[in-house]
Amino acid sequence: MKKILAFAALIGIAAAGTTWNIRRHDSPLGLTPQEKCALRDAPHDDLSADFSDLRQNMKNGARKLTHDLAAEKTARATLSIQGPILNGIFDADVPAGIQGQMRADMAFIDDIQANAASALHQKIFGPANGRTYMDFFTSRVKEIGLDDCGGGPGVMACVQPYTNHSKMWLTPNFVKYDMPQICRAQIVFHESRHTEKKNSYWHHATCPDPFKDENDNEVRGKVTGTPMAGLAACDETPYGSYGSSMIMVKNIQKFCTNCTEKIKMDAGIYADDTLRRIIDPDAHKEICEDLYRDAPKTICKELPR
Amino acid sequence: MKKTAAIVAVLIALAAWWATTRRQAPGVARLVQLTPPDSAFSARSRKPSRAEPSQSRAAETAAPSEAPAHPGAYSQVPPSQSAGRPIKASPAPDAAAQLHTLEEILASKNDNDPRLDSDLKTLTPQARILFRGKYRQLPTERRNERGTIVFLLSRNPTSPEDWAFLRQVVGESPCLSLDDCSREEKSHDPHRELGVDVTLAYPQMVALNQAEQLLEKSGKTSATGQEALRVIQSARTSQSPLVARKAAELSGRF
Repeated sequence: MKKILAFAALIGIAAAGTTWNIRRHDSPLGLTPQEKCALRDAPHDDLSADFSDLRQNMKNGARKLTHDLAAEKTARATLSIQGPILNGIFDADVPAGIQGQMRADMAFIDDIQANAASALHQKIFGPANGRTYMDFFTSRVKEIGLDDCGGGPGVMACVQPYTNHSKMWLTPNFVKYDMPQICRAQIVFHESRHTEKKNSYWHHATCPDPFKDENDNEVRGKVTGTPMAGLAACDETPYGSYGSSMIMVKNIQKFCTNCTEKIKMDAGIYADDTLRRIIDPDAHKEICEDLYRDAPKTICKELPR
Repeated sequence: MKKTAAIVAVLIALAAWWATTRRQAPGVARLVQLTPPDSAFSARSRKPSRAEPSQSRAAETAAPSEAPAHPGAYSQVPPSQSAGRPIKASPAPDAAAQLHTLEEILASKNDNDPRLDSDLKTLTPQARILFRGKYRQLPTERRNERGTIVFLLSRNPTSPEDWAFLRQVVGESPCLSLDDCSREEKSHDPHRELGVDVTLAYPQMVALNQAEQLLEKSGKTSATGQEALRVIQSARTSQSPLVARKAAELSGRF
């Protein structure tokens, strides 16, 4: 009798000890009691939940770090005039939102790194990197103000060279419209080229009439097809505002090493569209040989002479 | 007496065994399980998570073709994708997190946010549903935001719903102005409207660009290539001259 009771007690103690041990070591992942409770409460037929919590914690940590880095960059760019980007060049009446967006865009430009630059890019800007671009911009644009630039549904920025050739004007559309970041960057660099007094402000050429592209399609603006023939909206040189800005963004597409896939995709889309405005066959050919050697022939067909 | 003692001993042993196995099941049994169960779908309910309310709103605005088959099961993966994988009844935390990341990036207007190429590189099936819902929620004038979603969804389309979405995007009515897609505004100075054409057609141009990339990578005879060609064909009849021209150029090349 005593032996039987002793034996039963031993079994009970052994069982209790095993249970305690399992509870302490039931997860090889070293989970906290809260995580174990979450596992216990999770659907029993869903193994992925067991590991997804831990993976999620790790991802959250990594995500927070990436988010913090991105937030820091944005914050640095959107600081007031004490910030390092475009320090002190905004007029007082430029709304904070426009200043912030411009600074954020230029912070992105400032950070660009690339592993090469095309020959035309070297001639216009130098190496393809943020320092080059910022020096290019800040050496030309000394002030930024607010203006409607003559109005118009798609106008974002302008330079009025005969009033103040080193001042750029931004319109409210700069923050009102939802455009890709690389498009805004291309616009402001396009406008910065118009500040160059020694180059007659790189005035545009008149688009020919009829105005056809390399595929013999009529070139039209806007989605409904406003013809551009006869308008001062073309260039006859790779070095003008259209040419230089498209060369810049095309180099970003091809050579940027710290740009997202979206930035590079957008750079290509907008650069390829701008190429249509280069109407001189030699200028067009020079750009094609500089930047489109490995591109499909349909993009860079020779222009008729 | 001996019998009683024996019965008591057996009962104690049974009780101890029962207590042990009950505590073991939730932790050890699942963690040592090497393969998931075969059931494709589990309708077991869970405690509502913090992410669920936004997903409920997204699900409400989802297209009818993506309406949940069962109440509360709006994260259900289509049967073609679900074979052999356990699927939770409630939205996966990953999907909610990816949507949250997307919304953060769109609000920041920072197209160079590295999370576009990390956290949002591979979207879960549930996230894809949420992203498509987000696309439909956005005003048509949000060209870059819509285009960003198209970019993310078209980077590696996998399901028939992904491809149907892309065909739908390229077939959309053109946006007539950045102020109001339903209303054309007269152009004042095309010189100063650099990039406006492309921006108005941006989601469509992104879809075509991605179709082109997929064709170059996969070839036109692959299943992916065939679907990409269908997207391009759908774009050929676009009312946007820019989109139609791009589609014609791609059709000629492939």
